[in-house]
Amino acid sequence: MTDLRHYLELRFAGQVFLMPNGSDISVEPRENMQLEQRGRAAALRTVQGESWLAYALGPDWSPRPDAPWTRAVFLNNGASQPVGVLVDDLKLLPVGSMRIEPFTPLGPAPVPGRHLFPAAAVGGGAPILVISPEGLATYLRSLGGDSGLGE
Amino acid sequence: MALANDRIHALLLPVSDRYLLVPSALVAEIVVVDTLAPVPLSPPWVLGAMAWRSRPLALCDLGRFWGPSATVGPKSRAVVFYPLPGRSPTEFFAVLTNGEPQSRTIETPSVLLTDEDAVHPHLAVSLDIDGKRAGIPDIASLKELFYDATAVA
Repeated sequence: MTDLRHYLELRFAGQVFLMPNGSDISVEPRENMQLEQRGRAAALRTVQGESWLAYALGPDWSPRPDAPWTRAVFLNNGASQPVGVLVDDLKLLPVGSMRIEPFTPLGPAPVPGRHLFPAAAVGGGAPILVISPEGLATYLRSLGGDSGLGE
Repeated sequence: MALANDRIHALLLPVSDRYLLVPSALVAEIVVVDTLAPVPLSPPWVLGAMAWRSRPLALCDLGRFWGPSATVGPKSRAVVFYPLPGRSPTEFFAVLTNGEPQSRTIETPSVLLTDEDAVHPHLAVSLDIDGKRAGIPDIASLKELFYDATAVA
């Protein structure tokens, strides 16, 4: 049976990552975003009166509101307000087109109780890390002060 | 002070300004360091993720706990370790060395324990082996360093 699942290939800060695609993820082009810095967020989208914040990240994943980007990838998981990461480029890749293996990051989890990269794609060259959507959402929310992380 | 009489097949890994002495049985393979993927939000001793036998694994610079931090160069090697006791069978990891590890059969009465550096983190004991400063890693301490007990998979 054909596996219809997909990964998003995200490019930002000169790096490439993968993230499982799902119904809890939405993508907005730059023209649908308000280019308004709020706190450490670089842009936002207003939906039914709520501001969905989106963050541009540097290579070390610290917020870089001035980093270039073309799209916002919003994570709508959980009860909290959606939060987004801004990316340079984005592609949809079928699961069957790559080999994904479990990965155990070493050291303390960057957000409480969760590592951000539970797997990686391996093929030629360096592995491509797979982002946990829940971990990324928790991290991005922490940049806004939700958990006191990343201050 | 001498250890109890025994013979151990071991590897001396050149790490920072000393050597790590590890039983050969802990080491799966020694490889040339290939391209690394940065692992954002990792501690500085994690140099990145590398591919080994179609597995992704983290490459560590343990030497920075005892001396200057390392940089990957043409002589560098990645020593791939089997998973530590109690960890998942997929949890291999790698340690960066300055050069090719040396194989040794250690006759323990000839190994001198030194008091020097006894307080170094993640070393169980410091040794003098043929005039070389060496340390035996403290596996329990490395497990604590590597694995966050609160993190879910």
